[in-house]
Amino acid sequence: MTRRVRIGLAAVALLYLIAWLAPLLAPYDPAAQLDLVSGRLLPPSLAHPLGTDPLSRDILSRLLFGARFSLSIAAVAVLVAITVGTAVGLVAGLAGGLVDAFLMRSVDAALAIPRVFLLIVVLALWDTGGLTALVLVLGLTGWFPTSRLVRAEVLSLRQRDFVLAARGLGLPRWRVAVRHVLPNAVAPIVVTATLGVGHTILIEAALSFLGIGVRPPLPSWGNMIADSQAFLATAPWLATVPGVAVVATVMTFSILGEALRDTIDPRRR
Amino acid sequence: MKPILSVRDLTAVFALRGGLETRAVDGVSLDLFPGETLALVGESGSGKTTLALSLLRLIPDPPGRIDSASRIEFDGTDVLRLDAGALRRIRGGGMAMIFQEAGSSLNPVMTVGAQIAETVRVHTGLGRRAARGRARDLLADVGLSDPERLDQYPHQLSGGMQQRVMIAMALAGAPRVLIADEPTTALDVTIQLQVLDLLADLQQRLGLALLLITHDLGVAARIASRVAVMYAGRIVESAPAARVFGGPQHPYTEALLQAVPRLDRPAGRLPAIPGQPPRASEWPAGCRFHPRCRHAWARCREQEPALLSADADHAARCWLLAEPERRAQ
Repeated sequence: MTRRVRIGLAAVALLYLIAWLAPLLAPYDPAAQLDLVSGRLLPPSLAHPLGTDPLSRDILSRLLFGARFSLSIAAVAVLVAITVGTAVGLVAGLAGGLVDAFLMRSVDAALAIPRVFLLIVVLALWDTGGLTALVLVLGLTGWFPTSRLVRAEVLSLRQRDFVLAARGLGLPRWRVAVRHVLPNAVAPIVVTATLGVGHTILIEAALSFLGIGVRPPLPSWGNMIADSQAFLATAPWLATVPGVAVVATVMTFSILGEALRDTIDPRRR
Repeated sequence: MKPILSVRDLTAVFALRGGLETRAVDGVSLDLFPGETLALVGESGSGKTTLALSLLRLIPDPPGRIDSASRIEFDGTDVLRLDAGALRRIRGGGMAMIFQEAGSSLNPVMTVGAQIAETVRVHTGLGRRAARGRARDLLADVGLSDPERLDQYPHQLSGGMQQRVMIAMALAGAPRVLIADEPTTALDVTIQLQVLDLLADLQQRLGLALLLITHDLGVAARIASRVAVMYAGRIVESAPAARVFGGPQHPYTEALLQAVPRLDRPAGRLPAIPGQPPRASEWPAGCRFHPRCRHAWARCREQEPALLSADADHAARCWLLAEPERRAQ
């Protein structure tokens, strides 16, 4: 394992540790309106290290709890996307013929629809779904590239001698698929999942910014930025803090993903 | 005695671009008897491997297919008409195949023990524990008695050990026919001998019928009881091993034997067969060997000979058997 991978893994682990420990680390309840009279839009101080927002809520506490939502929503959504994408890619690659053509043309069609547009329409129509809807919709609109990647990988793996040998020894098709083809395609899947988490955090932030992702009063980096729009001139830290958090987190996943690609993805060696 | 594997008129057709077709294996018939070793000898591109893959219906389809007039009978079962489930039981459980490159024929991300045990479980229905025990026994059978091998990955083993693992895997379903496609080609000479002797030993002990595919006449001479020589998709000569090496009837076999370096002849340039082996998409008309044959005359260019008998168990696809006086000096 290279140094870059170790640093990336450590940084991602740290992010999840912070999110997990948010209830212990946060000095206040993230939804508590502490002092609506004199505690609004306070600049950073000892009592409020990152200041307070227009409703006198502690920004550090909101940031930490926002990390919980952003990181777990992205992780679960990517899990859904990778699972569906891998299954579809595996079936398409191994079945070939009409099944492959049907699945891949469907994916092409789905990819032709802009993902953010699709997300906005579905989430706007399904506004009672809450976080479950958000995770599901993020996951179910995110698997198309994975399915293409896995299919391409499977097409090259199924030509390999050990797959032919496994078939020649009478192993059932599903066993060849699950035990011999899939495990050899894990490296690119891991890379794409890692990059996918960062990307999904960005999309989740955008949706929350628009008010259809994580909805108030639940804190999320996206809706924190949205709340601060009107105060960019008077309280610039309000938008800067969650903005920096999003950028830093997405970069962390990108760095880890790129490092993994260079290290474990056989096509890059 | 009845053959365990009987092949009649096996033709493997591959579709090429532009609607053309090529017959990589063209009307091959052969019988394999229990307990014998038949060596299938030929150059690269002569159709040996395609023939081996066809026996287990492993040629990629499309572009390949086996012509409907072909028949492959394993122990009385028509292999070409089996449904998927029955075909799987024959693969590995009736006929098992060993490939040329053991290194790439083993799954790189599975321990060798797990790979062998998996094949055992599929064919015997043994539980996890029992299958692992059987895998250990199989490894011991192929000369890898060190139990820690079970938990090693293929890349931790040498080429010879990998081929032994591949052989153990092939034996896991207790097959009666073992098809070995160039099992020693990728190995060092000393290891080649060990693997060949292992195959011969297993064949004796388990009473296997061994179909050994090789381009190496030395390999064939060492363990084969019968030899079939393949050229351009066809069998051109077939006889007991001693007869092929002692008195070849086909000019191609003769030329191959002359091209083998020998210690009991003065060193010098080895005779080579002029020209190139033909491509599967353009087999020559008439006898397929005639463009490279020093004996060829008009009849050879126009008409392809059948497998003509020299005597009861020796046949060659050559007009010289009908017109021996045409032999060039």
